Amino acid sequence: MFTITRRQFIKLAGSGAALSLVGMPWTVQANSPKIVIIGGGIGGVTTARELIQLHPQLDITLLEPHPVYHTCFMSNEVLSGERPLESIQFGYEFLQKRGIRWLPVPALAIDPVTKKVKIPEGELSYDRLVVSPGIQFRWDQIEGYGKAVSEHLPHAWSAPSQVALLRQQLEAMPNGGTVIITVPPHPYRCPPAPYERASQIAYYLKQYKPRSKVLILDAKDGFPKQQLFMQGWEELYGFKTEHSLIEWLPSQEGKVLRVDAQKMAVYAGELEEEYKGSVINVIPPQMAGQIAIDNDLSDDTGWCPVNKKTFESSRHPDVYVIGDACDASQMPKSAYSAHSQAKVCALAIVASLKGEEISTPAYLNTCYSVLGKEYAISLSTVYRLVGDSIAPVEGSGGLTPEQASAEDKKREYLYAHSWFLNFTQGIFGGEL
Amino acid sequence: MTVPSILLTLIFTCIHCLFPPVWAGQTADTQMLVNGCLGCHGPRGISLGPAIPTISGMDEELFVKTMENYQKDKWYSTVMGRLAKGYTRADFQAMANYFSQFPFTRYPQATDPEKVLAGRLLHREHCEECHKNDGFSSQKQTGRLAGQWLLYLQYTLLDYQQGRREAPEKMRDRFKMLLEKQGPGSLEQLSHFYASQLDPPSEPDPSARPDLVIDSQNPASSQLPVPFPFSQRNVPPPSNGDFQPTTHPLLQPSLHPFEPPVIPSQQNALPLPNGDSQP
Ligand SMILES: Cc1cc2nc3c(=O)[nH]c(=O)nc-3n(C[C@H](O)[C@H](O)[C@H](O)COP(=O)(O)OP(=O)(O)OC[C@H]3O[C@@H](n4cnc5c(N)ncnc54)[C@H](O)[C@@H]3O)c2cc1C
Repeated sequence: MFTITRRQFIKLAGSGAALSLVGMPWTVQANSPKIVIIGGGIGGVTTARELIQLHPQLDITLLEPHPVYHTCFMSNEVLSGERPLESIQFGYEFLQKRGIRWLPVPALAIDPVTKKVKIPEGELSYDRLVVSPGIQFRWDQIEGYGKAVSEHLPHAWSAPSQVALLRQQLEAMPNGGTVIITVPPHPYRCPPAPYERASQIAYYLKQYKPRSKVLILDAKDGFPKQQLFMQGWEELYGFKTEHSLIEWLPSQEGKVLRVDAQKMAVYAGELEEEYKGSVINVIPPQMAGQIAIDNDLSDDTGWCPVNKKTFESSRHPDVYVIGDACDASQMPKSAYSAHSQAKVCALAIVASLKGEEISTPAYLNTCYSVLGKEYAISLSTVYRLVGDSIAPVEGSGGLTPEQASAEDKKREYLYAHSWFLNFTQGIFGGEL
Repeated sequence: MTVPSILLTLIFTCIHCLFPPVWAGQTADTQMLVNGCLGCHGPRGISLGPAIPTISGMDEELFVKTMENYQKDKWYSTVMGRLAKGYTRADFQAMANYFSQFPFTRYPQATDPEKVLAGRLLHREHCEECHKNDGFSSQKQTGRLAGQWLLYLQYTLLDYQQGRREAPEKMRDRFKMLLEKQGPGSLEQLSHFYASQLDPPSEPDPSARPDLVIDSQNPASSQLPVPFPFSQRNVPPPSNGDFQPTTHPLLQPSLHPFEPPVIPSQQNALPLPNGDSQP
C-alpha cells in the first residue's frame, strides 16, 4: 500500500505525470495485488501492459524517472542521418489510459524482506516487484575512460544525449578522419549492434566523407553474424580492399587498455599500440543496472540470476528481474528478448498470484541489423526451457543465409523497419 | 512476509473471482505461444508495418497450412521459415485459433487509381472465382487480399511469379494465363487494387466476423493503433507500369512514418534524459 503521505502524493500528482489515487478510472480495489515495476524501458513497459491485460484489477505502479524513452534499436540509423532522433522517442501518457500508474521518479532502494521500494517521496509496498533497469557501465575497466570523459568520447549505448553527441561529432569530423569504435567483451547489450553501428557510420562516411574510415577495436576474436557482416562490408564498403571504409581488429591488436581523451588516442592490443581517431566511440564493459547491483539481485558476474521459467530472482522471492539485467542463458541481451521475457514474467506473476503453476514458457528473439540502404541481415531463434536453462529449439532459427540475394537483403531491410513500427506500437502505442 | 498468510489466501480467493477471462477460450499456453508472433506482426496480429502482413482474422486452417508451408520451405521466406521450424502443428493450431478471434483490420493506403481500376478488371476476370467478393473473403485456401498491405501483396505476388511460393494447381494455371495475357505489370495492378479495398462490394457473410476499417479522418474513434499522421500516407505512388516492388512511400526518408510523442508538460520539469540508465 502507499505509504507516501497524502500531501506528498498530491505534490507528485501535481507534477503532471502522476495520477491521483482518487479518481483512478479503473477498478483498483483496496485488496488488489500491488505490482511495482522498476524501469520504463522495453522490459518494464511490456510487463506492465501484459499484466494489466491479463488481470485488469492489478494495482500497477511503474517507476521511470525519464519522461521520454528513446529506443536503442534503430539509434544507429540516427547516427548515419537516416532517421531523426524524434523517430525513436516514445512518451508514457498511454500508461494512464491503460490503468497503469506511472511515477516519474527513480527507485532508490529495495527491501525484499518488508517488500518495499524506496522512492524520493516515500516508499511503496509491493506484492510482486519487477526489475528491468537495463545496464550500467563498468567505468573502472578502461584506464582514462569514465563518466566525465564520456561527455567527450561518447558511448552512445544508453542515453539519447549520447547518440546526439556522437552524431554531431560525425558531422563535424573532417573527410579523411578515423572513427574508432571500441567493443567490450561479452556479455553486453545487443551483441551485433557495434557492427551495425560501424556499418551505419560507414554508410554516412561513404556519402559525405569518403576518405574516412571506421576502425573497430574489439576485445573479442569474433562476433555475431560475422560472415554476413563481412560479406556486406565487402559489397557495400570495400572491406578487405585498400580503400575499405571499415577495418576490424580482433583482441590481439584490438583489446582496449587505455584511452587518452586529450590526445584523442586509444591504446589497445598486446603491444599497446596507439590508435588516433577524429571521433572515438567507447562502448564500455557492462553489468546490470545500479538498482539491481545495489540491492543484492546480482551475483559476482554482475548480472542477475533468475529462475528461467518465471524470471523470479534466485536471490529474493517475489522479485522478478528481466531484460538486459538478468542472466537468461543463451538469450542475447536484446529488446526482443526483453519483450519476450516480460511476457513470460507477466504470465508467471499472474499464475503465482492465483496460486497456479505457470504454463510451458516460450521465448523468441529476432534481431535485424541494418548495414546500409536496402540492406539488412537477421538472426532469429525460438527458445524453450531445457532443464533450468533457456535453449534454442533444435532445427529452428538461424541467420540470413550467406547466399541470400540482394533482393532478399532488401526485404530484410523492409521487414526491419516494419518490425520497428509494430514492435514499438505493441509497447508504446495507444492500443492493447 | 509481513502480511499474514490468511489474509493472502483471502486476497487470492478474491482475485480468483475477479479474474476475467483474458481472451475467451485462450489458455496461458496459447498466450505464451503467440507472444512470439506479436513482436513483429503487431498487437493482435494487426500490422502497421507495410512489409509485414496483418494476420488477425485469418482463417484457422489457412493459418496452419501457411505455417506448415514455411516450416517445410515450400514457401520462400526470410525469417518465417526459420521460426516456423521451432513449433509443432499443435502450436500452429493454437496460434491460428488466437488470431482468428480478432477482426481483420484495414488501413487506408496510398494507391494509384489507374492501377486500381485496371486491377479490378483483372481480378474479376482471373481471380474472383476463388478470391470471392473482390478478395474480401478468406477460406481454407484463399487468404484475405482486400485491404492487405500493398508492399506485402507486391512481394507475395512476385514470389508466386518466380515460382518460390507453391500455389494450388488451379491458381498456378490461372497465374500462368494471367501473366501470358497481361504481362507482369498485371501483378502490380492487382496489388494496388487489393490494397485499395476498404469496403466489401456486397453484404458480407453475416455469420463471419465483421472486418474493421480504420477511419482515416477520425482514427481515434476506432480505438485502434494510429502511429503516424494519416495525411502523410496519401503520397502519390510511383507510376511505372512494370511490376517493380517499390520502397513503400512510408519508408522514404522525407516521409518518416513517425509521430513524435507528446512530451508531458511538466511544471517542475524533470532533467532531460542525459545520464545512463541509472537516474
Ligand atoms: C545501438 C543499439 C542497437 C540495438 N539494436 C537492437 C535491435 O535491433 N533489436 C533488439 O532487439 N535490441 C536492440 N538493442 C538492445 C535493446 O535496446 C535492449 O536490449 C533493451 O532496451 C533492453 O530492455 P531493458 O528493459 O532491459 O532495458 P531498457 O530498455 O534500457 O530500460 C531500462 C529503463 O529502466 C530505467 N531505470 C534504470 N534504473 C532505474 C531506477 N532505479 N528506477 C527507475 N527506473 C530506472 C531506465 O531509465 C530505462 O528507461 C540495441 C541496443 C543498442 C545499444
